[in-house]
Amino acid sequence: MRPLKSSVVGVLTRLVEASLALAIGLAISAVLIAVYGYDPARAFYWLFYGGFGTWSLLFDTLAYATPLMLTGAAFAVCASTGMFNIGVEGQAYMGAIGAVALGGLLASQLPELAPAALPLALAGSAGLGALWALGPAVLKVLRGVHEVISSIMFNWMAFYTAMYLVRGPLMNPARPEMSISVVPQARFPVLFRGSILTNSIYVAVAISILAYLVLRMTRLGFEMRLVGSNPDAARYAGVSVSRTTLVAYLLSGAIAGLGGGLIVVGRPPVWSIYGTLGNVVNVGFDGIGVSMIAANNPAAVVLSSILIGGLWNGSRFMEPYAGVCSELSRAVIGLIVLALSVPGVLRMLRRRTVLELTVAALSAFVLRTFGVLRRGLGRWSS
Amino acid sequence: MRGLLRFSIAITAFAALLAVLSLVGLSPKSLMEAALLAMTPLALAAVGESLNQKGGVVNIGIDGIFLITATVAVFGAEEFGSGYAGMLVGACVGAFLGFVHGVLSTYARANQIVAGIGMNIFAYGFVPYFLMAAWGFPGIRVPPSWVLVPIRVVTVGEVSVRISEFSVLAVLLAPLLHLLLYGTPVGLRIRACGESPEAADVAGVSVYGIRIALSTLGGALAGLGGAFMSLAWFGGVVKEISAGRGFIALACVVASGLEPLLSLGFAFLFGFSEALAYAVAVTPGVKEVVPYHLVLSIPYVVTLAIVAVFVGRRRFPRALGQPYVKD
Repeated sequence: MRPLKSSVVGVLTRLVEASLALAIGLAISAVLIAVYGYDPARAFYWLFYGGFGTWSLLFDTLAYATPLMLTGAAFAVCASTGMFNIGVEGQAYMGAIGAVALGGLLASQLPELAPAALPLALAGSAGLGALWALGPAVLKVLRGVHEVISSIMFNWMAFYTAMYLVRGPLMNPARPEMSISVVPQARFPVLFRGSILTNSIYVAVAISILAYLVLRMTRLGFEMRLVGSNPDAARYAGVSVSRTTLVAYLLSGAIAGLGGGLIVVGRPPVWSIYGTLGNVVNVGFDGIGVSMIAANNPAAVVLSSILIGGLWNGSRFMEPYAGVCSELSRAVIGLIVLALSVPGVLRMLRRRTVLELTVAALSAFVLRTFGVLRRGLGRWSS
Repeated sequence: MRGLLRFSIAITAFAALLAVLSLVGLSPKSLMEAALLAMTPLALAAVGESLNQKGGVVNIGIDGIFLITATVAVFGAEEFGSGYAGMLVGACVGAFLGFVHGVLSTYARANQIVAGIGMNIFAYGFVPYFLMAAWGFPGIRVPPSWVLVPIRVVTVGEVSVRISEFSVLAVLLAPLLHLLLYGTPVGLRIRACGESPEAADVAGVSVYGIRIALSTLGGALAGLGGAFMSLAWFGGVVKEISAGRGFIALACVVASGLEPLLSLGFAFLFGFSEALAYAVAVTPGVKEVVPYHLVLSIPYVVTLAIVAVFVGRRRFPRALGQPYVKD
């Protein structure tokens, strides 16, 4: 157990760091908003009012946060093992497909399975998510292919496969613009009347905390963190790096798949996938942002997913009331990740301001280029 | 000698493949023309990125650079009324994004993979926003055809081939950068920055300067590739125009072991597989049997297979992806 004081300081530092990254993201977006003639203050007012302004809006935010919590936790599990599972996006698509296939198609074809439709749908999502993670994991262990490249290819294969299934075998004959819905027994009950928040949020919170406990309290979790921080030491200590890598990746894929599945079984009113995959796309990429803000800690993901969920929910208000395209919220997430890629932003800020740093870097580069040019010209003329 | 033998075997196999395809009714000439178009953005980005990685910096954000530059290039082309001006705008914006990545990876000591992921996510949000802000229409912009970059028709004897000057540029750039890398003092310094930045620094090489310059060059070439996609190849831009091609370019780089010449070859291979996939998807007799969306995933399967076969034999610079911290 770490001393209490150092953990408190650590958590506080992280909170300030995350807020700083959020501030940087918002500041740069404000410039982008102003450049195109919109009003940043108005846009941000509606962004945050829409996300957190009233109780019912907050419930919707929590509903959007639910799948993000799981894709975030999935990325965090892999990141703790030293890998970047960009494939959470594709694993979430396949998870949603798994939920529709088992909780919709199978349960409606075989009515005797209907009472067990919910566990069946969840098992389908976790299983298909893990299956989609198997490819990059095996390629990494056997061939040394970097997981970022392989999992992006699997994302696009998942996209086209899901697209084919949703418009083909899984299409809803009555409403061709979406897949068939899961049977009523496979739907999580709505928590508050008129809200899209369902019981599924308990599942997401429980799995995130469980993932944290596995990482912190179990032998497997210890081995995963050891492989993540120092693979050579892990090998020396007798830990099988390939086995741990494989387990971590499959675990991550199963959690990401569940995240995609919860979009189907945990969110009214359609309980299905749109033909454009519109309600599933980006749930993985934004989960990466969620995990980064939480310092890749699956328990802290519960909180950071609410922030990103709020940006999702609020951006629906930013578009009609401030005219700013809702997708800008994703640019904010990207900028937050960019800011967080720099280690110890806070420490650097204490020494000198970011502005000074940028100026110093720019001027050093320009001076050096000129120096090289001058030297080159001197050699040329002499 | 062995290299030459392998090369001629590959060429023969390729010619045989084209002959088989022409039997099913796919014209080898139009396939090759489509393959060259599809190759160009991949090759431009891959050649730049292989140099960048030789210097020790990985830029996972190429896909984002493709997206952003494909969009702003259309804007630039319409503002200045010329496709070539649009290409220039794309290259400049790409250079700026590469420069930002370079500064983050050196002075700011950022985790390069995380920074690249951030760049991509930013692009996924910025591009739809920009399309809406600039033209007030969601997700797509088709510019008037007179601001596009025309594809030239070159006639040799009786055969006339449609080819873009930027495809030629991409093909010429690979040997040029190969010479720069292995035949000049600058190339030696670049490789030193990737293998042993400490030693390079002691020898008086500016590690940060070289890494930022290479990242900027890589960004500019990727930007040219992105602009080529919207202005010359597709004739317009949609919000998911890159379709993961930035990562296919990275796959070319990795599979080639960071060699510009080899990565050009892989870029052609991927371009050809994409052209083939599209040709198959619309061929009468095939399109009724094979689902369209599954055919579209062929290039990604090919990429995976190729990387899996080739990557194991490659050796990468020792300091690749590591921030260099001066003492």
